Amino acid sequence: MKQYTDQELDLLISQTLLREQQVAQLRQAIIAQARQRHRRELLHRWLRTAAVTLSWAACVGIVAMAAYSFVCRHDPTVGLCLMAWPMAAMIGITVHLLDTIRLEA
Amino acid sequence: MTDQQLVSLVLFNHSQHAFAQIVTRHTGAVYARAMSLMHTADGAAEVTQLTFAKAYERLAQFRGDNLGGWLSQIAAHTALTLLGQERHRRTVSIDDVHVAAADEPYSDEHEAAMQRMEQAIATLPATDQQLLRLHYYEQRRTADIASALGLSQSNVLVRLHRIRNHLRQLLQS
Repeated sequence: MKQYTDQELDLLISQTLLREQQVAQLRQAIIAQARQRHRRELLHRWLRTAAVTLSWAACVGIVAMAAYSFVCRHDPTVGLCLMAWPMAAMIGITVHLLDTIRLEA
Repeated sequence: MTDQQLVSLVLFNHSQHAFAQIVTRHTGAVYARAMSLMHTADGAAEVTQLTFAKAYERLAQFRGDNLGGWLSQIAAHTALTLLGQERHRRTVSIDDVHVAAADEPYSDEHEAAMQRMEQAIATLPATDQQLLRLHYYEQRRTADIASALGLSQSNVLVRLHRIRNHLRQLLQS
């Protein structure tokens, strides 16, 4: 077993305590990072749910409008043209938003 | 609470507190493993952060009861990947490598000594640990330490001497 001089022992104690502090700071950084990631995941999940709900609502809206136009006016294209473009744009924006968030994560 | 229970809490309850406990328990060992491969404090810190980030993503893949071993494997893999990337990125002459190695204070023996010292310090009473931190880490003067701990200056010096001897005995036992 190595015999330590006073100087070597002092140096070893200093280095060990310094390491201990570095590890403590690192620990805090990792925990903060994990919390941030968790919050981002929660937001992502919420947005994904909202996007799916909106997509379904858009589909139902388009079909309902088309059916209304077909039954009441015998012209399905009117409803489709009115409803399809805004809905498609909305879905596109939502998906783009989700992709951006995923890329940042 | 065991490591497995903490893992379950993270996986099923998304408990951030449980993950923080895992980090608190294993950061020291993961850092030491990373240090043994990277040989620099910055490299070891980077590997440690990446290890826990990967572990968080892949926690569902953890099987068995040795979480420390699993994290150590991730750390080793991450360190080797980083070292490989570094080697590809740089083209260094043999002379430069020797200079870099000579400047680097890291050695396996020294790392083992630091780990033994860490364990030895952990066995000391809280007041002695605080005394060591004030003297060695914060490098406070004896008079400041004495007033911070409510001791006389001579008492501080005597205690430091005793702690040093005790640590030396623990290291050499």
